[in-house]
Amino acid sequence: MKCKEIQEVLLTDYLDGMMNEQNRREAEAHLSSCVYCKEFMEIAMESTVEPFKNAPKLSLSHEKIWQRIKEEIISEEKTAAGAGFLSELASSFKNIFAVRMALASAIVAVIVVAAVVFLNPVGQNQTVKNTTSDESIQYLASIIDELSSTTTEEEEGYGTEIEKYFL
Amino acid sequence: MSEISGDIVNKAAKGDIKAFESIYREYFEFVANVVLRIVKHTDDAEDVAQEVFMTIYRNLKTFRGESALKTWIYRIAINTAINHAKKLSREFRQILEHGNDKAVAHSPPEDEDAIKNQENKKMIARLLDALNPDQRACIVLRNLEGLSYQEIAENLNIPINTVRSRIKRAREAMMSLSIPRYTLS
Repeated sequence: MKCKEIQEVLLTDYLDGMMNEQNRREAEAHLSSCVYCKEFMEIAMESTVEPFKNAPKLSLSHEKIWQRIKEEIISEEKTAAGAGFLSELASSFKNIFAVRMALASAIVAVIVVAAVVFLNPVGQNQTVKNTTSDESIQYLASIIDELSSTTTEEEEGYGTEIEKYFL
Repeated sequence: MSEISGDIVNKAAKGDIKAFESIYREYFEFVANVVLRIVKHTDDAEDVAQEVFMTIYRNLKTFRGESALKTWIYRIAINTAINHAKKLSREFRQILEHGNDKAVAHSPPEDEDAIKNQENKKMIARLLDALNPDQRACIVLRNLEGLSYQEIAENLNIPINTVRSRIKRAREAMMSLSIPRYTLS
């Protein structure tokens, strides 16, 4: 191994005891023969590993943070409950609005039909006129029928003397 | 750290605060330590820790157990802390406090152990300050939490060689801080 290669390994796997047996032996063989790499390894150990050994665990205020978390959870639940109520309220309003819309639509439809039927005089007169003219035609037709049937009867006659007298 | 049972997870997912408190108590120490190391500022770290647990609470319904709950929580904690630290970096907010006094000082200051702890803590803060948030997260998980490269890769959802590369660069940066002749390659 060259010095540069071994220094890279020293800073990681060697210092952390993660090298396999064969690589570790190779590295140690190099260290025993290279003063520069040996010094490098000692300084690396002293300045990057030793200070962290037996380092006191840092901590924060356990109870203080728990209280803050509890307050935040409770606050979130209240907000969620409030949002749920508002959502239900909005849903109810929506339903009521839908029913009202349906009623209003029906009323408007009735008004429109009524307006067409009763407030359109031309249409109504036309209907009346049509009805009247139909009846008239039928009436005239019946008179004509009667007249024509009479004529036929007259033409047919009974062939008596008294008939000739009155006609 | 024992795993939380599936029953507790289900109850918490349905909004049972007591069940969620069990999860909180189980993972708080890890979340607090990692978040504080990555974010550095106590006030920010408290906000981030709160955000982490709220994210867990809101998303427990979607947790399907494909990964261990521990891995899932670690991932949320680390990513939330890294994102927060990156946001701070983007805003050019320089955090020069190495103290984090409120975070640790449980012992009286005249105690010899406490003084040693303070010095050690300052040294670690100084080293971590030299790293970007991604490198810092890898070093915290490796050097302080003792996770393997594979576990770090799973937690950060990155390839193992990326973990290796970040750790290498992080250590180069820390070395150059201690001994200036070891500058970044």
